[in-house]
Amino acid sequence: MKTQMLTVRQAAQKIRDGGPSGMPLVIAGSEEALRALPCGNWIGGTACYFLTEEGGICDSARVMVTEIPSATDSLIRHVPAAELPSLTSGRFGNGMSFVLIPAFSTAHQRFAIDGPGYEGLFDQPLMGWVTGRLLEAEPAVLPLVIDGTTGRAHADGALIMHLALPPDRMARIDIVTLFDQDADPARSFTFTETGFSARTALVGGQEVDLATYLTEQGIDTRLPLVADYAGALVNVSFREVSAESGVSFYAPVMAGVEYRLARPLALPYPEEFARQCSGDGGSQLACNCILNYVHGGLEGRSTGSFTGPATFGEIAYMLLNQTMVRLEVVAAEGERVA
Amino acid sequence: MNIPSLYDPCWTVALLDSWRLEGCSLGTRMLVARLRVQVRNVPASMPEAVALLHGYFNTNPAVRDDLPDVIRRAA
Repeated sequence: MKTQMLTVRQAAQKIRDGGPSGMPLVIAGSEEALRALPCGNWIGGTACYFLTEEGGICDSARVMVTEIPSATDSLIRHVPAAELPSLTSGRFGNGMSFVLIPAFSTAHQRFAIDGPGYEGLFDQPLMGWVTGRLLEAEPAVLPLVIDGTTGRAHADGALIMHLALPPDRMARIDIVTLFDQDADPARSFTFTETGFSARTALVGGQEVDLATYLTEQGIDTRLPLVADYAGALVNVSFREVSAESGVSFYAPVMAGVEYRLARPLALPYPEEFARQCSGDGGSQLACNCILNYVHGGLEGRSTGSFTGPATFGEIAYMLLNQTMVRLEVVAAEGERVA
Repeated sequence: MNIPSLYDPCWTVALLDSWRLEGCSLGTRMLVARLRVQVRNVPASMPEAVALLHGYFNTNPAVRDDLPDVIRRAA
C-alpha cells in the first residue's frame, strides 16, 4: 500500500487513470476537496489533520490517498445505521474490509456499542476510522463519508469497502497504543452500563460519582482509560467531565470490562512513538487519533513512516481511541502479530 | 492442530479464565475478551459463546495458529 498527500488535481488524475474498476483507493480530505474528485473506485471520509513523514499538518486543500494494489476485487456499499448488523455481508472469501463512519452520527454510536456483537465481525480484518472536521468548526458542519462510485456524500451510516486478496496474501491488522495501564487495583474502574457517558463508576469496587472523583483526585483526563482485551490494550478517551451532566467519552465504556487509568508517557509522544513502534509504515495503511495529534503535540512533528489521517476514532474491528491502527498485506503464511 | 469438538471443555475453560493472548492476532484477542465479558455478565450465555468461539476457529484457517494459545490451559 502506498499513502501520499496529493493535490485534488493529482488525485483526480489517479482516479481517472484507474477507471471505474481501477485500483481501490481510500481518500481522506476536507469536504470541499473530496467533492471535487471524479467518480471512481474509491471511498472517502472528511479529515483535515494528517500525519505525514514531514510531520503533522492541518490541510484542507490536499487529500491523503492510499492505494491498495494487492486487492483483486472490491465492493463498495453504504450501510444505513439501521442495517449495520449486516456490515460484513458481501465480504470476499479471502480479504479485508475498510470502513468509514461519520463522527457524532447514529451509526457512530451504534457501531461503537453493538459492533463487537455483529455476526462474523472478527472473522476478517476490519480497519477504518471515524471521519471528522476542523476542531474549531461549528457543530452544524457534519463529518461525512463519500462513496466515490456515485459521488454521494452521507452524514450517517457506514461506508464499507470489501477487498479481495489473492490466495497467497492476507491482511494483518494491529494497533499501537503508547499507554500502559496503571498498576494500582484500587484505581480500577468498572461500569454497570455500556455507553458513551456515565454518572457513576465502581472505583476499586466502591461506587463513586465519577465526575466528582476525577475532579477531586486531579486525574489528567487527557490520558485515556485503558482496558486489557486478552492482551490488546483498548483505550477509551474522556470527552467531558461535568458535575451536572456526568462524564462523557469518545468511545463507549463497556459494562463488566475493567478499566485502569493510563500511566503518563515517560517521553513526549513522538519520542515514545519512535521507541515503541518499529517497522516500515510505508507499506501500511494507518490512521492515528486526533487526540494524540493534539495532546501529543504532533503538529509539525513526525511519526516517521507511519502516515495517515488524524481521526475522530479509530477502528480495528471495534471503535478505539488514542490509538494508531495499522494494516498491511503480507504473505499468507506470515500471519502472526509482530 | 485439530480443532477440539464443540463439546470439549477446553472452550469453557478458555472463556472462564483470564490469561492474556499476547501472541494471537488482534481479532482473536478482541473476540475472546468480548466473549469472556459476555459470560461473566450473563453466565447462561456460555453455550452461545462457546459456539461462537468454536465457529470462529472452524471457519477461519487464517487464525488456526492462535488456537494453541487460546486453549493451552485446558489441554
